[in-house]
Amino acid sequence: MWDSGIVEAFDAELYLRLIGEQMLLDRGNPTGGPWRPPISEAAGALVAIGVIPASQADAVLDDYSLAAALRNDPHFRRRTMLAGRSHRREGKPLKPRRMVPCERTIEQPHATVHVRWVSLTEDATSVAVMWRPDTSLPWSGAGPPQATLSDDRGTAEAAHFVGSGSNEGMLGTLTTVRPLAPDTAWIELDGTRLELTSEASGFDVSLERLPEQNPAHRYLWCQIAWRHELHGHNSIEPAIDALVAAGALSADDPLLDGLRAVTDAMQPSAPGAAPGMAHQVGQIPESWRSLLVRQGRRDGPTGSIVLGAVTPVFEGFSVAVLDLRSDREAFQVEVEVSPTGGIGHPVASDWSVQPRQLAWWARDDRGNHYLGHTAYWSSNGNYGQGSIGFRPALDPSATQLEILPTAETTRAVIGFSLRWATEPAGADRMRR
Amino acid sequence: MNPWWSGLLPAQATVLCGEHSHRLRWQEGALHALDHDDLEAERALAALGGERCTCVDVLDAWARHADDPRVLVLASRGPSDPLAAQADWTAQLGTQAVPMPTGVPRSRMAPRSLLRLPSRRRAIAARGWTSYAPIVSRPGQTVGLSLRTPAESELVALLGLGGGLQDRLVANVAATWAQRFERPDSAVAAARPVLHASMQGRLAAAVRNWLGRADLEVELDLVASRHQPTLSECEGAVRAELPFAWLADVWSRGLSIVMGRFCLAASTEDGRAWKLMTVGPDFGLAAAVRVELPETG
Repeated sequence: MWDSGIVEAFDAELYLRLIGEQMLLDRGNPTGGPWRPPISEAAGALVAIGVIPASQADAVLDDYSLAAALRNDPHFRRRTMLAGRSHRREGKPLKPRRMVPCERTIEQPHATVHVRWVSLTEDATSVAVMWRPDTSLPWSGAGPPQATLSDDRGTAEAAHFVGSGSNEGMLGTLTTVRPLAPDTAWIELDGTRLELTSEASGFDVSLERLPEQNPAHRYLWCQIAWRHELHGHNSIEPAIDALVAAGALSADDPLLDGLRAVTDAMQPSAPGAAPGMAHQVGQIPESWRSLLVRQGRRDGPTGSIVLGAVTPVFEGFSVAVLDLRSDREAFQVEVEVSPTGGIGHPVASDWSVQPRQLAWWARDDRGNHYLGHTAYWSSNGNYGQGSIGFRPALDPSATQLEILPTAETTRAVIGFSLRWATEPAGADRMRR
Repeated sequence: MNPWWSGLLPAQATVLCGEHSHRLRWQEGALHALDHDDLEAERALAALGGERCTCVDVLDAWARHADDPRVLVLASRGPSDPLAAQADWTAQLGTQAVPMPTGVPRSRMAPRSLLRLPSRRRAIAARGWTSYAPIVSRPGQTVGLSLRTPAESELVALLGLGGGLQDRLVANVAATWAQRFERPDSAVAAARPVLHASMQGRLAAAVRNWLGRADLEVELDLVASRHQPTLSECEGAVRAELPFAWLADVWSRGLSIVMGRFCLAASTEDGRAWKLMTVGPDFGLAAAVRVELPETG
């Protein structure tokens, strides 16, 4: 057990409201930044250590988000707490799926479509594609048009594209609203037949309880993992201040130096891997230390692996890891997450106390850790789907990898062997 | 003892009531609808499904929020903190049923659905910031103000009345809670963080404006009214020990800064001649300043 150290006279509601007052007074001179308002950051921390109920903190945030909106403050015009609260909905278990690797290139009149895999569930059918427009024609930047998928039962469904890309083309999935037959022997993509004969790689799925940790420390490391590439440590400072004010953290806690150092080192603009720093700061957990040691390496293997692993529900989340793609600098996994709040970025307009979130870790059999961030995502209301980009590059000597979607106290472990299929040329450039 | 509204001048605003512009006037602690002779008849008519009367809606909403601490959270902290009040905030009144406790007289029951509004008011409401639908974000479009409850809609409408009525509503709420602070109970304890913070915000705005230091740190120690109020500076921050009554007695009357001095307390025997305990920018000894309102005031 941890000595909470909470100051007996600490009034968490008053503390939050005074931050709100400060924000209103300072609104003519905003410090700016893409992160959430300080009052939300502080509220999340105080709720996490149990000094104020989430409902009470939400009421305070509600008050000040409305106060800011009434002032027509351009930084706070959007008042999306309701959207934020929806993040805390419990997720529905994602369905097991039939995943079929399907490396096939289809030439269309104005584009080339490379099909990577097909996912079939009782709810929907998805086809992962790499779409390249004809470079001899002007390209508007729009993605693939709607496609038609059909199965061996004669069912045909429209499929919509979700994905991201560059001027080289786009990577993503074409997904139907209604499913095709999960056991179909083939599907047709706009009339081109794809035989579904291959099998996905094997994997193991389990759940792992996280070690007990000081709640304040756990909260801060979770926050950093969640947002590591978005902001510097400035965005976490209101949470630190709140934890110190509440007595849950000492202002000179050595953790803070480590936390700030890690956050700065993780910024995309940070100068290199800074391996020396990792050894100077004793308060950095091993997972973060190994992350920093390999940061900046460009020796990752190139290839892809089709998986289709689905986790049990843990802390309200259900996750499906569909595939992994690796190149020299990074690797990505395509995922589905229920509820939708498990994937995505924190947004400045989200005033809610603490949207439910997952940190995306991975570890290999060489002792390396990797941290993922959301590259793109979309939501259909029931679940979110998108791509998680991991850094640093995969250790080329690794033979096993575990993807670790991590909630507050539990994480799922999706383990598999790194047996690569070759990716089509140019796939890495689409991911930039 | 002088009433809480002593020294507060009348305030007046105009609202669109049906097809007409009507006057609402605050005077001596109460809001009045000047262009209606029989408010009870208007209420009865509305209750029977007739056209709603905006003036009645505003008066009823005012009564419901006269002790609502949330008024202090949302309203202006002073001249440097204007709300982006829009006239059509008021058009939100009468658009939703407000749940009332059992036993509330029919005459005080809340307005009903948007569908019963005259077409012109519906159009105004549609242009306003009122949102009763789930928040939907469309590309390139900013999601506007989303008001979650009928009570919240009412409150925003009241704050948009103009003509100084927002300030009078704040004064009313502040005076109500200042009186309750004299006999603290569980309601005071529950509202204390709201009251403390909203007073500290106003205090900070006033002190910063007084000293011309926008980033000055200002701390408030909320003390009982029997304590001597103080204002001091320590390590670059200003620290005040003030009772909640300061908000009602001083701030609400616009007496925070008088002749370049910060007012700690205000008192009057007759409602016209005021004795102000003040402190100068040097944070020296408090000194009295006397002001007297003209008889016509």
